[in-house]
Amino acid sequence: MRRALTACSTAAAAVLVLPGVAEAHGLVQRQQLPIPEWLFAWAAAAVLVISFFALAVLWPEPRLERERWRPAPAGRAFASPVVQSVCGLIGVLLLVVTLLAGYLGAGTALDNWAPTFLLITFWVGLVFASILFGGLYRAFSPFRAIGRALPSLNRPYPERLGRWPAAAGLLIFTWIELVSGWGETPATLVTAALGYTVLTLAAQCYWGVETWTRRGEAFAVYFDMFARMSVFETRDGVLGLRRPLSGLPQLDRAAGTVAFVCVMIGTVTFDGLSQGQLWKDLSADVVDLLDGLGIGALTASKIAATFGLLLGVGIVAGFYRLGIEGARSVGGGLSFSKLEFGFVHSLIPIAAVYVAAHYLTFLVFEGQAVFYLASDPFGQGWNLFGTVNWGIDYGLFPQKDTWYVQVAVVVIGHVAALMLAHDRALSLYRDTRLAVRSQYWMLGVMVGFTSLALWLLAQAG
Amino acid sequence: MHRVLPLLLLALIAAGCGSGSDAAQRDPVQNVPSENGVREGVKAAATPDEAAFPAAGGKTLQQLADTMTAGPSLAVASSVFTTPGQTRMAFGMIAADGTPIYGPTAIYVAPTPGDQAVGPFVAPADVLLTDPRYRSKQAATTQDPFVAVYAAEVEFPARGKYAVLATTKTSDGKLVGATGQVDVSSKKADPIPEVGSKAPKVHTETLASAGGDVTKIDTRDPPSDMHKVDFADVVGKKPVALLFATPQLCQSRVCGPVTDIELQMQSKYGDRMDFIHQEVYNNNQINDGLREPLREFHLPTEPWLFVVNAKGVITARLEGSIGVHQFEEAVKSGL
Repeated sequence: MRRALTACSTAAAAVLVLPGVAEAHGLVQRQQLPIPEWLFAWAAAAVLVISFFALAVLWPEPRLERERWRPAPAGRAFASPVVQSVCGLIGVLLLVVTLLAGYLGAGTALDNWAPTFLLITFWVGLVFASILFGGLYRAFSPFRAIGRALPSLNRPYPERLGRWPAAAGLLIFTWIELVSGWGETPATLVTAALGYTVLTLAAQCYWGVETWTRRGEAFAVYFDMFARMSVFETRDGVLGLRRPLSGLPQLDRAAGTVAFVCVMIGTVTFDGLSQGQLWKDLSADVVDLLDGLGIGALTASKIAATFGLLLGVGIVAGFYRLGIEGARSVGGGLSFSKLEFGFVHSLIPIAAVYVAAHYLTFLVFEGQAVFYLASDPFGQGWNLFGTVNWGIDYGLFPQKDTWYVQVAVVVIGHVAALMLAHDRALSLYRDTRLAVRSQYWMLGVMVGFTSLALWLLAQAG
Repeated sequence: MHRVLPLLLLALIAAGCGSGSDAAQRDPVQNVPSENGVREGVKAAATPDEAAFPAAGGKTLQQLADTMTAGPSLAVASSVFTTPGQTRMAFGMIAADGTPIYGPTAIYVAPTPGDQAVGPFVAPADVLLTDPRYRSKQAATTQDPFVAVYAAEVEFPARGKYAVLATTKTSDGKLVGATGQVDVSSKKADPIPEVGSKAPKVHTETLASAGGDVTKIDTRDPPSDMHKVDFADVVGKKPVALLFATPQLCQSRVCGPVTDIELQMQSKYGDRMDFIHQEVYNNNQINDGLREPLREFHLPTEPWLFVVNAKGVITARLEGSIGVHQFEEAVKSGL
């Protein structure tokens, strides 16, 4: 002991835990990739080009346009009125709990059920669930469940409105999620949800539940788009099976559909862009400019982000328009409108993979919060399911593999989009060679979307 | 539907009569892993009894050390010590294999090993682990074995260099000792705002001042929401807990989780106190120097916690490693 004391040899150990002065205690940096990101983009583009030519040679006639739906075993039981009612009740219960949690629960988003449930479990989780299991939202929709119990005027729905109300609703929701900052204030967030509920119920009463669900209810239209990729579909009270993606070509024509799909992709595009340095620098300039005009910095940043959100949608819309104009230029006598709507369903797998690539880790990690919040949704010290002391397990998904999963998902989604576009071109153009030529432009669009997706992911780091 | 409504009504009533979020937060010791008796060790270490340690009784530090078993290392986790009065010394006891040792612990000090020792000053262990939900990604994924830190309130007789002897009573009743050395300065020479003084009215960074980009002012992953108010706007009007910390650049379990602890405290006391997290380095780069609020507080190290009451008077000041219990006591002092 004498030697230890005299030498004070443990001084070195003290350094281990001294408060930080001027040294890093460890920086978590982006996982170094074995090959550069640009090479991934080239490889992804190459996969698309090869797929394109493989389709041209090996896929000479439309296959996905034909419906091949067949009842699933016990399909009638799964879609029975009893099951539908129970699902609807669960949906209503979740809505009520969420609204109450927003007002009664903790004032911080971290401890409140409402923001996690609405912005992660519902908004992101249901995309994955819809792709896998089909029309889950339709079954669990609280608006549809309540609407069916309410009287309806069933007034004729103006066709020119089409899916425009849904597109506007989706844009507003994404603005709330990405720009407003209301997600940090549970009471404000659920007030918006309550407002949407009232509007939806009123619209359902006026135009009818099914009409509004198909056209104006933003979430119903949104999740229905993804559900069309699933192998499951319910028809006339029977759950059935179909080919993967084959629900997409059946998308009915309605005004505003292209806008809706552009909002789907464009808003995620902005979310990815906003996490990168390019947008941060651009936004800082806009904020400085507006701040100089006397607008507060926080308001200025929201104005800049609103502009960015619209820009994201605009870029996607412009990109798609370019592809359609190009396809029209090859001949065939098809109108812009016919082509524009004809190929829009092929963008839905792209929307799906944009969501998957951008939000998968968000769902896997932050989404775990719903388990401990469910045990005490109103912040009353309850432990209803014994999960209140759970945390987030960051080891659930290996972070080093995230980039590879993202790239794989993006490529698969874009190849699926190419297949759908090719299949549709074969049915639109009588001449196979003309159909393939029209798809050169769609190939350009797909390669562009793929590169954009990978660039955004790389930007977000 | 008519069966669900009464249930919801019950939920509403229960919500109205509930006990608040306090009940959801548990004894921090419960967050310590139970493997290898660590939790039991921390539990015993949390309430040390002064009588369990030999009285200094005129012995030198060396004589006291000779009655103990050598082996562990002392790792001091705070750096500013002043006299006269009590000053907080945070530290860890580390075994030869690098694992922390937990048990009832106390420290003795003397100018040199041959001088008469002062002590024992008991050092309760304080848990560094928050409730799981408040852990950042950095804290949740660290491999750091520290789960608690010792802190003693020490009275140094005069300024100067001091030898320190820390001793822990192990589960088999033996006292193990470790030594170290600290510099003690005069309280008058300490430029950092002290307890009882008015807090400097510094401007801390907010989401607004960062142009809405929270990553500029918060290295926590995910970023916290403790950037809503500017310290200068609220000090003297409402109790405030101001934490200077950089979760990303100091993410060992010794200083990394303080922001998580603050988040947990905000959840419990957020309706009565404003909680502010101020990052440490300009541009979140160590080489770019300290941010302005730290310079105005004359802080040479991080992390630091200042709790200020509604009158703008500092009621607690903690440096370095801070556990959940001490953090909470500091918060309570400002309410």
